[in-house]
Amino acid sequence: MSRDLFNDVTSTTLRKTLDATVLRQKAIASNIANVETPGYKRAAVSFEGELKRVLDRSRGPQALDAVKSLQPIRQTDTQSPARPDGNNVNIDAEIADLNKTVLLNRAATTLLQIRGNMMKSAVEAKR
Amino acid sequence: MSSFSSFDISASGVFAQRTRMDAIANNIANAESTRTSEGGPYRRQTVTFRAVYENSLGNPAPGGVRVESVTTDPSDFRLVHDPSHPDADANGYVKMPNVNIVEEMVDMISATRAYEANITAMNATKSMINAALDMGKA
Amino acid sequence: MRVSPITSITELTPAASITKAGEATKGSGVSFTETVKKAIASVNELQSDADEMARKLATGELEDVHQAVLAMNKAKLAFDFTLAVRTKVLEAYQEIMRMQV
Repeated sequence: MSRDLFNDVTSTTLRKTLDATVLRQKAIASNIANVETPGYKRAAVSFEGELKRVLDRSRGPQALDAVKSLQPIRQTDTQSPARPDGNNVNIDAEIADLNKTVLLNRAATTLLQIRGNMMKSAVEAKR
Repeated sequence: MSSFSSFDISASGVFAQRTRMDAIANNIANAESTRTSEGGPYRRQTVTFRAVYENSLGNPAPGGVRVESVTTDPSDFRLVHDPSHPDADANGYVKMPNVNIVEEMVDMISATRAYEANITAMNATKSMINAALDMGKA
Repeated sequence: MRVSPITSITELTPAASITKAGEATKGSGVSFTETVKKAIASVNELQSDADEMARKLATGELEDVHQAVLAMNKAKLAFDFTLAVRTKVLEAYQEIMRMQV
């Protein structure tokens, strides 16, 4: 059981995922607040795609370093179709994204919590 | 400008939509008002929004929204032929407010949806923060 | 993996024969050493499963969150069980060492 329960790929991935969900939720909040703002282009946060590429490509300690240096990226979406006033926020899509984001956030939190408790048991048993 | 919290962003959206709802309610209530304190028929109110951005090097992050102005719609008054109306002119025409009730109703529906969506976003923030706090517990 | 309750640890081979556990019970089925080895192996396997589920969740490939949480809980349970076995063995060893010969 020499696995380092805090600094491994899984824990790091879950923590980065949490960061991404927080950033994404903020972007969605901005989009919703600006649903009626003329000319406003929605903000989006990308992370999963790059994470998958990194994890598919590397293994072992390389994977850990790669995930550690990964950051969620906020972008402006100019591609989605806009209304006559230039605003391209679709409120239904934003709410759907919001629900998915909150779910992912809570799932990652739960998983980290279980792992955290496992580490706690290990530390306590060493006494 | 410092960074905004997600709460601030949603709160600004709630406030903006409230202002808009107030203006729409005003328009609906005064759709038939031919006499105002300024004299003349009621003029439709419109609310203009503008996005607020955080100062982030090279990549300005959108924050919330603010109400830039609450102004009146400059379009012409509706002319309705009604000689029996007390405000009818010499030819029997009355200048009515430039308010289209159907449009106002549609606007009210979308303002309500947007208002509720901002509340939902605020609840999402709360949910995620609570989850983070629970993480510290055994 | 079926995890037996912790109280069943008392049913394992008595402490006195621990050093000869491998040999002593060869004829009578699974030895204590084998049990411990299996437990550790299954902990690692369950840990891998949990890691894989977590990875899929993070990259958006997992539809069912429930699976990931279940896998993580299983891994933790197996880990806790093995840890408890180790603790009991240690206690038993220390108790023997304290005995006057």
